[in-house]
Amino acid sequence: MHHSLKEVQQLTGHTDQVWCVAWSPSGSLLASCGGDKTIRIWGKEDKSWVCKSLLTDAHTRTIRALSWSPCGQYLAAASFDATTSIWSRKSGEFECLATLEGHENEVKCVGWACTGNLLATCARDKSVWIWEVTADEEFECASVLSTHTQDVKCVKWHPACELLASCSYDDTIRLYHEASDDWESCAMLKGHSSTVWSVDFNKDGHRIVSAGADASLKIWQDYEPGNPEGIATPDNLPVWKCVCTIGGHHERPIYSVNWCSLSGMIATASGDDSLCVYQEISTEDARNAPKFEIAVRQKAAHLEDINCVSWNPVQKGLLASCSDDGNIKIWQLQKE
Amino acid sequence: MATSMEHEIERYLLGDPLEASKVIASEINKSNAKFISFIESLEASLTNTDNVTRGRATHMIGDVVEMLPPSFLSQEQGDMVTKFLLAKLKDHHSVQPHALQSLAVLTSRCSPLGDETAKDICLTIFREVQNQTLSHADRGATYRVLQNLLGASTQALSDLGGDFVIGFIQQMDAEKDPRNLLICFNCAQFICSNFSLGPFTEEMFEILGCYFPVDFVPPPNNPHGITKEELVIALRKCFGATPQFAEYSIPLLLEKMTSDLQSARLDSFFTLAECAPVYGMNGLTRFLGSINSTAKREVLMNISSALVEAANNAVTEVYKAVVSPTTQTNKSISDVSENIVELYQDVGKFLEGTDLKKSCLAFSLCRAVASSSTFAMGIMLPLVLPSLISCCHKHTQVSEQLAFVKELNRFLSVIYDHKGNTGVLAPLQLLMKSACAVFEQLLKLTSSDLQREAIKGLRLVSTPRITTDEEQVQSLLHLLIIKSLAVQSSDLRSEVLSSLRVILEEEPKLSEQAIKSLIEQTDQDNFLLASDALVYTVVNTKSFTEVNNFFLKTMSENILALAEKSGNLLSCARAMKQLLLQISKTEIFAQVETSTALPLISLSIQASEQWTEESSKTCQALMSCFRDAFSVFGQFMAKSDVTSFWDKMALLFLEGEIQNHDFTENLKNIQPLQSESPWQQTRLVALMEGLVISANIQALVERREQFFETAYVLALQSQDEFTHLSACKCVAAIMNKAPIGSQIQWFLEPIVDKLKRALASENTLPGRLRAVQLWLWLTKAMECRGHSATTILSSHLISLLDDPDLGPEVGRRLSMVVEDMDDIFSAQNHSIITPLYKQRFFSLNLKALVNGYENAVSKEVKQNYLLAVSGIVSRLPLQVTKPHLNQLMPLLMLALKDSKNPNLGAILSTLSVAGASAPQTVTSNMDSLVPQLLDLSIRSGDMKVRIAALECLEQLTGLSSHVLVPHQTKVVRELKQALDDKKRLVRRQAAETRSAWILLQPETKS
Amino acid sequence: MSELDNANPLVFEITKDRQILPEEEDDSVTDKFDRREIFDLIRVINDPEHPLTLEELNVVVESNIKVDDDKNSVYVEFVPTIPHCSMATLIGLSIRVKLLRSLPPRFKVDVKIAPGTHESELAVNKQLADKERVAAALENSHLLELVNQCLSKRATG
Repeated sequence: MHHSLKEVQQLTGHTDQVWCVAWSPSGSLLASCGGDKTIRIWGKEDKSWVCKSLLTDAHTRTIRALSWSPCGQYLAAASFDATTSIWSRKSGEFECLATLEGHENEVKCVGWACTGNLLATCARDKSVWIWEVTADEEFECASVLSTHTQDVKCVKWHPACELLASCSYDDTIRLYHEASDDWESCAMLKGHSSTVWSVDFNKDGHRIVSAGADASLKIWQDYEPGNPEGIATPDNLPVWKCVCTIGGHHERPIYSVNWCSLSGMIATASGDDSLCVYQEISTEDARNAPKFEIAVRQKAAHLEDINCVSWNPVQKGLLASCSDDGNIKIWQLQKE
Repeated sequence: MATSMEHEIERYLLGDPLEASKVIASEINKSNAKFISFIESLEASLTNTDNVTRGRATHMIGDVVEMLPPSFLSQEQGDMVTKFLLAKLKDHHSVQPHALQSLAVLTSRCSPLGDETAKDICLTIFREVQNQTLSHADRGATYRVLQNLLGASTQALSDLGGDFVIGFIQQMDAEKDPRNLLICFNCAQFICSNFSLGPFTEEMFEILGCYFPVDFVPPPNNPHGITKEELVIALRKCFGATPQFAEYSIPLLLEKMTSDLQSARLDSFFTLAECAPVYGMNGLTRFLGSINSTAKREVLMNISSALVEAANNAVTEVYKAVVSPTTQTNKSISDVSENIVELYQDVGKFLEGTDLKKSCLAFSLCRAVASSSTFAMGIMLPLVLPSLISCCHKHTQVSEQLAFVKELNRFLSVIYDHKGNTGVLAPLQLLMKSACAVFEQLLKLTSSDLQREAIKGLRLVSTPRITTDEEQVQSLLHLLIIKSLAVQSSDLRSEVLSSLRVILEEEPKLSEQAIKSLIEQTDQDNFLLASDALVYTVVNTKSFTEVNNFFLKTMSENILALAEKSGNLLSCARAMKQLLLQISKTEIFAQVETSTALPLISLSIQASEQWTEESSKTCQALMSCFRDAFSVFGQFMAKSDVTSFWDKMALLFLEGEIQNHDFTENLKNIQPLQSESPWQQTRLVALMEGLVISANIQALVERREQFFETAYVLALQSQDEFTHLSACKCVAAIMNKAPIGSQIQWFLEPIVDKLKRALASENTLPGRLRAVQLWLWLTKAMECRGHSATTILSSHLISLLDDPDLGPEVGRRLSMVVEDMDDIFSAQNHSIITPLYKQRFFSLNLKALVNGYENAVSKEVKQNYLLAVSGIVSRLPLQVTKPHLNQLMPLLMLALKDSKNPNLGAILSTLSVAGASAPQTVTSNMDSLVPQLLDLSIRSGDMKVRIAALECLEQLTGLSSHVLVPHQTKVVRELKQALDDKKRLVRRQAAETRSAWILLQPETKS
Repeated sequence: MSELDNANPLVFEITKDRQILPEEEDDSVTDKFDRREIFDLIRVINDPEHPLTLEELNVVVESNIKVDDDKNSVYVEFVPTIPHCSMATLIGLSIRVKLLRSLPPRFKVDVKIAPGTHESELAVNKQLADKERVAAALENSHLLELVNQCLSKRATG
């Protein structure tokens, strides 16, 4: 099956590299941030995307990552200035509600859990912090997890339960859950040969995709206790195993991977200026030995490194990407 | 007058002191009133019961005296007034300052005061004045009184002896005001160097020493104009005012030499260096050890080259002072030599060369000692040179070898300064031999830097008056000849050739041999290098004749064989020009007409029969060379020689007269000044040009007008570009130099008329363009001499910008009027050059140009004006255009928009400089300038313009940051494109420029 | 600064300025990026602890540079003066930043320690390759100042 990516629109406005793009849960807004220390909120007017809001002055250094709350009312922003800001749009306009301090240095990523009650951040200080959101919009640190031995690059919550994944410069992925009143690391996924830049869950949360500086993708499958394959599950905890490695499509590090919950397609963004989209093809043993094929390889999608790629959660096949060249692009996946 | 005197006194006291004193002084000066009656009239006020009135009256004496001519008052009158004033010193404390002020005036205006009066003033001041309680201005008055008396009544004050010294010390005690200190230091220096300080030497030094090192920062804008440097120098002179200070000052200086403040250390070393000759052996010897170790510390720390140099220099001065020949005794001399040896041993471990930097520093310290005197050299060199020579042998890395061999050469230069002094040199011969071995080793390496140093070193030790070994001299000469025929690299070559020259100058008898072997070894491939080298072998008449004849012979042969080769001809002609320049200021030059000038004319005539269309370019090049040679004749020949030479040339060129000259060949008759003659002949006018542009016009007598007329016609009519230009320059040079009141006046009018006719539109375009060219040259000539007729010439020229056919040419060339043309119009060439003529031209014509632009009827004509303006502006120094930049900026910006404007590069450099020196104008145009420059940097089709625009952008970063920051993001971002320019040279500048903009603010990232 | 890591480095001769060829002054010819051009950009970088350039210390040599103008790639290997040089990361960062600022953005630049010349070769290489860390480092004013010092034109030679 052949696909292609059609460039819908290029969004210009940032004056420095763009690090992250994030769709709101309703799919109607796109938030972006980067080296110019600003957040831009883009929305559709008539047929084109325009910048609706420009959020400034909350951070003194690069804003590295963004995450919308599941209700779409809050936006969290992680910055190199060691803080995370929380923005509320309840009044219609975006207002900075709180600034979370605690990390020793650059915060690299932030993620909102599916329930909306928990928030995770990670930083170069090697730690992952879990924050509890109280009823009166206060944020309290619930746990500091220091299991990684290096810089933590990305955090991602499970789509349905309170399970957190993080990946790091130490080449591993860690999973965390709450056990007997405290958070703990419940799995370590080893396999990548260099920094793991990005992780994501699939729609049902039984699979994780990871990607990194070794320019490859890995698909990890969970095996519950008592699984039919008979894979041992020590301590009665699920075990994650790498069931597929996809390489050879990117020439330089993959900085971002995103798994579409609508189509099941995976998109990657890389330092080789290209975007790739992969789709699973049917095989005999899809659970234990899945196969993926490349659906699109968009070379020179941007003029410089691409830092982030994100599927629209509502509109199937709509993709946003952003780059060191300062631009954001919106693409539509098309069948040919 | 009496009543009016009182009236004026009253006016003074009531508050108009200036006018009142003026009136009185002028009355006294005109002898309408007597000075004594002024004092008498003042008496009532001087004795008034009111302190204020007495004060003002006292002050008035000074004010009036100040307005009288110097020395107006007799000694008697002076003594009398002094008495009054001294009495007032004892008056109420509020009157005292006025008395001091008036005394200050009196002592400066009335120079011969009686000796007793002078003494009286000093003693009264010392007794009555508590200087520290007074304001700075009044303290200043005290010092001025003393200063004046020191100058005028030196002996009287000297007679006061210790009383004066201690009195002065007490008065200046605790002075802090820089203005006063400057006076105090001057007084103190005078006192110390002229008076016996007696028992107060230490006190005197202490009162001065507490100011050392001077630490003074002038207030903003420095209203008093006193700099730290002035105070430093004044105090330094005090330190060196008497040898008696040595025992106090050296310990202080030594202490400050280890201060944490670099400026204090620097000042201390400078002061020691300056005082050393005064302190001499007696003052210095016992401190030698401490001076050694302090200087060593400073040198080896290597904080800055200024400090190292200052410390070394102090060492040199100190050692020079301790072995001054008059004060030598056996004891002291052995002390000195012990100290030298000690210093050497002290730094010995650094001389091994393991730490390159430290070694070089230690060597420099040893050299500082060695260069101080023959005696010191004799002790130091045998100690240190073996280490240095072994360092040179030991190291194999080029940079290390280079550092050591340079050091070695510096030592050899110290030896070289004693050339001819065989007694001193004999013991060093062996060392110099081992240095030779080093150099011979280095010559085998490929590094041209090392070879250069080796040759320099060999030259230093192998000059006849340094070495006794003739073979050594011979082998150096041989080496230099071989190298001069092979080496092209500019640094190395210039060392080879200057060494050759130095050796031959010292031993002229070697030059014959050098010339012979150079000529023998000359072949087709090395001819250029050989002819160049031959120029350097000429050191006397004999060698000149040989080389000169060789050049003439070679050129003659080459001309006859023109069809086959022309390269050597031009090399030879250029070398000939160099040779002439080189001997131009020597006695040899007297014979140059016969030896060179006439043969060159013969050569040119011979050549005129050989030129073909194919060799036309060579002809131009050769004639240009000869023109330059002839301008050397014009500049440097004696005036009478020029006259006779000119007579022969004029006869030849105007009458075709050949037979009467001593030309060697039978030459055909030629007519080089007839425009119908073939170009092969007319180009000979270049020889005339050479002479005319350079010679004193008074020397060109016979047939000058005739030549002028002929050249003028040739300039208008010759279709050969080279001939035309050469003739234009002849005409211009004569116009410029013609004596005032001579034919020039009645020349000009018919010339201008004729030119106007030639410019008329019914003529052919080439003819009109030639007339424009001639007009331009005439204008240049007349502007240079600031002639009153220039306005007519230039305004007509500017009006030609409107001409559709001639306008573009005028626009392109007009700027030549303000261009420097040192080869034609210069003092050296006896031209008449009015100072500031360019400024005059610019300011007189700027308005016409700007208006012309505004009123121009078409785009094309506007373009002509823009070209002219931008050309002129880019050739003028910025201080000339600066006042007009506001007016010019819009035009320059428009000129920048024209991508074909040939002045783009120059306009951009004007703007670059403007950024630094007229930031205001540039700043107010930033919003349009920055995008324009970015556009040119990225999109101009000419790489030179892209580079110039980028350079201009880089220069802008010198402006204050608030002007730049708004543009920073845009510039940094857009310059990314220039980084990918297809030309490497543009990219290099783009990277520099972008980096400069990135570095504007530390926060900015790439 | 406390003790120098390497107090007495060997000093190497510097290359002569690139000779300008006639075609480089011809506006119609495209000059491709070549090894020497990259070398000229980085050889003048100052060493963080000696008053010498990277070229004088032999930290960068022309033969350790690879350039492919068509494939937009630049690869630079450098040799720390001594295998335990604590300044290796700063030197690598300076080279990287100099190239980031001076080369068109189409180039992908890799800066690495020459194999076998430093004890922590892999760690330093990984750090230099991490664009996020480089970006963060350049927002650190202290570090940026150090880098800018390495990149500034030094008055004395």
